[in-house]
Amino acid sequence: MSEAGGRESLRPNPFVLGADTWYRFGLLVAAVIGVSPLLTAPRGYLYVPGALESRNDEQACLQRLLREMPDMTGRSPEDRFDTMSRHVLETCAPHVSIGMGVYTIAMIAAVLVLALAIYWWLPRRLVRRRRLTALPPPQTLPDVHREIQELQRLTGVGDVGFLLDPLDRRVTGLAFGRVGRRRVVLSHGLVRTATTDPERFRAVMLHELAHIRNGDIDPTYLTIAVWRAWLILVLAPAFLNVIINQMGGVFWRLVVTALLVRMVRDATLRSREHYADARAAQWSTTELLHRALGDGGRPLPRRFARRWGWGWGTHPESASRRSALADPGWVTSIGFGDGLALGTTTVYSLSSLTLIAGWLLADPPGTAVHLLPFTALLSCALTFGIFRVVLAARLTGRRVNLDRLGIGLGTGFVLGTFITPRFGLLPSDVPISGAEGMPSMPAYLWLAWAGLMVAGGVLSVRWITELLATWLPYAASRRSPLRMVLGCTVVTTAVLTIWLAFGVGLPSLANMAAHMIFPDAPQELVFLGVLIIAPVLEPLSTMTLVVLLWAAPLAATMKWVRAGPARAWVSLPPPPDGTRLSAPPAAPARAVSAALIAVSYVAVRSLIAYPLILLGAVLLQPPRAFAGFLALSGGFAGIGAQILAVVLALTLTRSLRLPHAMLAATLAYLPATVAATLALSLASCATTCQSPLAQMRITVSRLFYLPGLALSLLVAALLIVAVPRWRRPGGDRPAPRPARSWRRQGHYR
Amino acid sequence: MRRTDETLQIPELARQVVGLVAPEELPLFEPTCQAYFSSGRKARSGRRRLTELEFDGQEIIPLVTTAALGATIAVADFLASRFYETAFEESGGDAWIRRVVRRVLGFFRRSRRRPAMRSLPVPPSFSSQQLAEVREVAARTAAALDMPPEKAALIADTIVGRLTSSGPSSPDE
Repeated sequence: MSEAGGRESLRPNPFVLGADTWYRFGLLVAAVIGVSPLLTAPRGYLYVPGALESRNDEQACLQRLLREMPDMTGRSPEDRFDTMSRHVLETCAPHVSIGMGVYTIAMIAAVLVLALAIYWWLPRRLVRRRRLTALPPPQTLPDVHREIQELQRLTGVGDVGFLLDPLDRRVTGLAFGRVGRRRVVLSHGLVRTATTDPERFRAVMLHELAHIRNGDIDPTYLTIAVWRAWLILVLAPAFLNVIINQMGGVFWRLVVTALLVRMVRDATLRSREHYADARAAQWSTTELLHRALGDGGRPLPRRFARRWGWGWGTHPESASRRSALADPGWVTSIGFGDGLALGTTTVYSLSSLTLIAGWLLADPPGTAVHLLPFTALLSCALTFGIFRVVLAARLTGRRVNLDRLGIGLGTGFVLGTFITPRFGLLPSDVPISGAEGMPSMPAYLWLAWAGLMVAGGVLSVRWITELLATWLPYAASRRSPLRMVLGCTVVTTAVLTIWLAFGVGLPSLANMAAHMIFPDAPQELVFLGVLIIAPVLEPLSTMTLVVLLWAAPLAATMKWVRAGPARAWVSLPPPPDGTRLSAPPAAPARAVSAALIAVSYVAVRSLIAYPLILLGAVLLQPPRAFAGFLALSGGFAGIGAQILAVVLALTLTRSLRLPHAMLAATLAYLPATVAATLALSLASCATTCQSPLAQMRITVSRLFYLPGLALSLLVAALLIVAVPRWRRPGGDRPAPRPARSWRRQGHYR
Repeated sequence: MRRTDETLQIPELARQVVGLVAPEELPLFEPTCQAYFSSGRKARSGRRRLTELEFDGQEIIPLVTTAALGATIAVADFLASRFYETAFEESGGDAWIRRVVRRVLGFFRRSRRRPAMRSLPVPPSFSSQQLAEVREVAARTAAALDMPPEKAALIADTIVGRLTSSGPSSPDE
């Protein structure tokens, strides 16, 4: 078992799970596909017969409905909601436009077909435009050919054609070509260096051969092709349409959209260079590449670029490449820009898919189903990227902090909602638009929602980091981490789908509730109420989410998950035999304690509330007023208990805090909810409910009263016993115990 | 400057220059020459904008081949323009016509896509001033293609020497 001292010589292997050029390319394709329907729809309404009329009819119906809302004074909120929903469905059934759906899908297919054509045409164009010729034969350039053959043997990259760019005086090369016909172009300047500076020649050639070895040529050229096809078929006509129709509000959205897609494209092209450098450094030394990169570029380190992951331009600067050579963690780092692109693409694409589903299906599925393909992609990008970061951090002993990625992700969710041109290009068939129909939410509520989404992004990234960190030792002992990471991707997909479906739909739901169900209530209160009540309305989703949040990471610390010595792929060079990676220590007992404290709070609160309810019911007239107040507070008791459990668990644990907090919330959920429901029943039916069912609930409540009291006392006793042990100095664990599954020892940390 | 039937093939002249100044570049002379004469002016400069897919090589290697080709073509342009001016003067053309013709010729000379001249009209004789001008043009062009001053001078001298040896000697030589 190796000691910490050996850690310094180990470097993270950036090729774990392969270079991420393909994932970034996938993101670009998703962005293009996601954005295109909204941008091509206005033209579709002009070309598809009947689509415009049908859309206008539906829009007019919705507006008429809002104007002629029936008088529902005195009705309960539930009645209002039912009436409105029925009224909307009966009066303004959503129109199905197969033609629009087919048109949109055809446009996406056209973009992809054109992209393929451009991909096919690019190598030929390159050869013709640069007047490339075959490299003269070995008789003419014996030194160059000898060197190339040696490098091909070293790298194992065969079956490559070498071309000459005779007029290019720079010391540069270029790998390109279609599938099965790879080519490397050598500039005239590079060929000259084969005799004058052979080391430099080797460095550049190794870099170009590394592109072929990494398999990044196809995604690179496809990236360029997709971008150009999208520019020609989607973006340019959309801009033209906006300018002709003078849609100022849409113009800036289009600009932001174009910049974001461009950013994704640039990130794809930049990442391949870093990976090629890393591969070349594996074959030779980093000093060689340093020499080849020259002394230009900005001073190191570029803190801003590194921290925030921003970057414009298709080619990384020499400075950043030199930094990546010195620190392989740079290659695998992901930052704000990545998160922003991922978040924006997901939400933007959701909007598009919803639109297409509305056109094609009479009864389209819910938001979660629309989200699923995009959250799967998002989860894949996040888990693969974060896994590399976690592994690199474990090897180098650094602390993982991906909050910037989380901020970017959350900001992307917000930005994706705002920049969809749907609100400008299409009629306002969504209540949050504010353009037509209902007024939009006030700005400060939008801001509050944005804050929630950013917090959600940060928490999501933190949780994924913890999930992968706990499973890392297990993955490190397997031949490949792929299965484990894919498993985490599935869990992450479920988690992100559930909370994003809620988060993205929150403004719409709150606005609808404020205008159609609670028109007289303050909008802030309605927003807050929807925020709290919405998870309760979907109990299965909420429970699934909460259970996954703690079960997935803590499962890795169970005994049955046996992690062996780390395999060779973990680092460069391979780790010494017997090396084990450690998982963050888990303390589920503390989460249980936190939950018990929270439950006891609810129980004690119920004990106090029960006599007050009875007293109020007897003394006050009418009795429902006081009972109603208690009922309301009792309804929030379950939520309060969970919040208390979360806070306590966060305070008591020092690692895996989020999973512990969620475990505590789950444990607090059931008893607290039971108690709260009973309190609610008592309060609302103490004096007025005469039905046999209500009487039975009251009886049951009374039956639970004494056991509740006993439970509270038991919890209090447990607390008295346990608290002194928690306060004992000397680390996270109260006392030394035999090593358990979640307390593996003798590891790197 | 009178035109004669004598012409010098520019590639051949450039090859001679390269053979004298940098013989190690001769193996790549042929493909370079072919690309040079089929490319536009910007591509001929050998300074390419870094595309998104290339290795970020920042250093430019001064190549005698491209410098020799560039200098020879510049000299050819120079001599051609002088020839047309002389022809107009002898035909008694008006000054404004000369200006128009010069501008039109200048436009085509500056055109990026114009293929380079492949042959060089050699006048029957050069005055010492003309030779100095030719040398200046060749040296300036070579220097603009990143040639060090001493090599640029060597290229210019070689071109001038080849020109003077190909035609009849000037009276004041």
